Amino acid sequence: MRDRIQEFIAILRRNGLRISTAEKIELFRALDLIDPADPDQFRAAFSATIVKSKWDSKTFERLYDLYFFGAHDVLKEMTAKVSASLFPDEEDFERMLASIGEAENRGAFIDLDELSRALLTNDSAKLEELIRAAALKAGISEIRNFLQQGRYTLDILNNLGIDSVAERMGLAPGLMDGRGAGENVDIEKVRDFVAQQLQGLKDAVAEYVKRELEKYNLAERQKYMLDNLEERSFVSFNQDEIIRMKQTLEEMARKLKEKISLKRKKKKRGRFSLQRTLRANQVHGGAPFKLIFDDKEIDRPSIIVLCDISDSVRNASRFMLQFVYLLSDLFSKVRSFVFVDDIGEITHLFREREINDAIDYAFRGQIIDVRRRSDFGNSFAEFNREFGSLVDHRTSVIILGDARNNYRDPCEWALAEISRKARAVLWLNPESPKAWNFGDSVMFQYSKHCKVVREVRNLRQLREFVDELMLGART
Amino acid sequence: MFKSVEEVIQKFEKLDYIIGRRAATVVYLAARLEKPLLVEGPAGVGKTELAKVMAAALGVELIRLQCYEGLDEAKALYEWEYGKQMLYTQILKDKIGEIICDAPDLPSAIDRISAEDEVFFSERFLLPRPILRAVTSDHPILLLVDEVDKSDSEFEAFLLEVLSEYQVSVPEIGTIKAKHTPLCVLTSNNTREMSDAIKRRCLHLYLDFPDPETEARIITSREPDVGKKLAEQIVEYVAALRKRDLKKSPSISESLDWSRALVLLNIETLGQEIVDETINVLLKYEGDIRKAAKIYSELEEQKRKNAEPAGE
Repeated sequence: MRDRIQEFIAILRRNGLRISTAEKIELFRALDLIDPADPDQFRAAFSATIVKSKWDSKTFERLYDLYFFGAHDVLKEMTAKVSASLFPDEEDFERMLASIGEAENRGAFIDLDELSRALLTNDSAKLEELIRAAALKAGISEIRNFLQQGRYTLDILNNLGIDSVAERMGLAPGLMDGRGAGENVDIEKVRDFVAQQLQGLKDAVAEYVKRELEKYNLAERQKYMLDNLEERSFVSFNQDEIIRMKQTLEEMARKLKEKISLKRKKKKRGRFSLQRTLRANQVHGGAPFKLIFDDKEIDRPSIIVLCDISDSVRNASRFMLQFVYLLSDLFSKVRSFVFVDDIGEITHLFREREINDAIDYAFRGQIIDVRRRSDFGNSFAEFNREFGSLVDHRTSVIILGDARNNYRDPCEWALAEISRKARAVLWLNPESPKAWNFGDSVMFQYSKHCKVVREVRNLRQLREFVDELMLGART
Repeated sequence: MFKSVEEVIQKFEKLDYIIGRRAATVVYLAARLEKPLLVEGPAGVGKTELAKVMAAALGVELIRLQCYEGLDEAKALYEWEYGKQMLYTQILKDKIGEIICDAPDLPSAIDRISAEDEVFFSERFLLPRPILRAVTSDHPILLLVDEVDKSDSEFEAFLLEVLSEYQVSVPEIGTIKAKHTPLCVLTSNNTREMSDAIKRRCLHLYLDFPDPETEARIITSREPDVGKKLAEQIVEYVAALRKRDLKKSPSISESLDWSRALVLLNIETLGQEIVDETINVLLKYEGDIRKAAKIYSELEEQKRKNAEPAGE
């Protein structure tokens, strides 16, 4: 049992769970205290000592099921199938098993090997043990892809000695007969049973190999997901994935928030305040037992986000809006707008609705008409007209768009006006810089009025941008 | 001390707290292994309550430290009662004068005063805060550090020290080691991740919303006036709400409040109107409330469809 658990821990570690030696020791101490036969208690012992975060918890649940119920499940299924096909009546099946059991007690099978006996008496615990041992010998831990399944299955069956077992199992009914089995035994049925069990064993081994592959490859799949998620360009995501990304985005936002609040906290203490110190220490007769410092004013930027939600840029905008919303604690004021050829505010949507819902609502065309072709110029002009007063020297304006203006009037003056009033205009372009200024892109003209123009095509770049934005806020 | 997981479940039930087997196992392990327990989960799911019931079940006193942003060592550990010290000094001015009056020079005068140091920096003037009280307690206690995720990382580091050695150092008095290892329960609403060090130190329990049957039991045991049928309807609806993406999913305390409200209004069964009128007891955000009404009618629709005999 201890070995099984050690092995399981090794698998967990391979799949990204960081389990320290101290925690491992704790696990064993816990297992000593509980009743291992009770599945709830057994599982709880694990989750209490080695599963410490939400992310780990998902991986753990999956692997736990695979590991502790892998072979067992498979064998149960096998038995169920066999009995169902041979004996429509469960009682008959039990009776047959009982008669085999009697024969065994009488020593009919004494010359048979372990595997044959286990198959005959349907001893699933023994079968599991044998399969596992044979699998280990075949080096199952090295399995890497589904093409190898066949080979491993064959290897395991060979290690079990399947051919000779088949032969010997064939003799079993005869053995039962010979040693005077009960009259109720239908030898034909036993013969059928034997054949079925052999086939069932082959199936069970194949299934076992499949699950082992799943187990060891879970790590690879997950790694791919995590690592490459940040590097994948926005356009490569489909609707489903974006919704599932929600947790990852929240994770990113949370880490960023912590990092930034940490940096801020260090500088929170301002100058010594004589007034407040004296007042607070009046109870001590004016003697300054407790020193009071002014709180340094936390510099929270106020931002306005303008997102282009035309088809080409939609995904990027979705991520941008989500991220900004998740980080709204870091800003003193956030107002968000969407535009295609006209502009509309969506700040209130985030207050009223859940984040994905709010974005869907805006993208569906409920705020502005999304079926039009981009007109940055008009959008900026409209913005100036309706919302220009929102922009002041403390506001940073972030624009997300590809600057593809469909050969319409870019209305540079509008952007210039915004830039004059604002603290800074920052442009995020989801296209590669090589494409800027080709075709109908007016990036070059617009960049004149922008403090920063950045390529933002994936999450990593988005995150880095926000990071810099927060750092730069204090300058 | 708990002798078995079953004992935990029984004792908790006697105190009106219905606990699942897995949670009971973790509580049992925490008590037996004498390790601190970190309970995480959504708000209102019964974490603080768990600690209270655990203390009651073990028959020990509960000492509570409520965490908030800006909580520092001083407020958690101890404070000197400056005011009292000053007062005593004033009153004893004459006596102090007597002690130093025949001192030949300043250094010796100071020496004499410092010889009496212990008088002014003794436990008499020490205001013990929860953690010091926990460490100096004469009998076994349970220390509840509530909403530890609201504190900052400096406090966490301090907490870690306490949890590792169960001793605190008061510079003027010395190191005080706990006579009985206190049982510690930390609760967190997951607004932020605890540091790895704390997590490794503690046993971990994630308390989630209960399944409908359990929740129905909780409601009927806490609110005996709620009929079985009504309770079932309530938990069915609340379970459906939790599956949706609401800004704030209803917690157990909220479903209990709602049950109570419905009882006060003499409601026996749920209906669309009643849901619309009373939903603001259950949900707190405007957007959620609007969604909730729709969800109820969808649920009813679904139930009607399922109830229709097949092959219609």
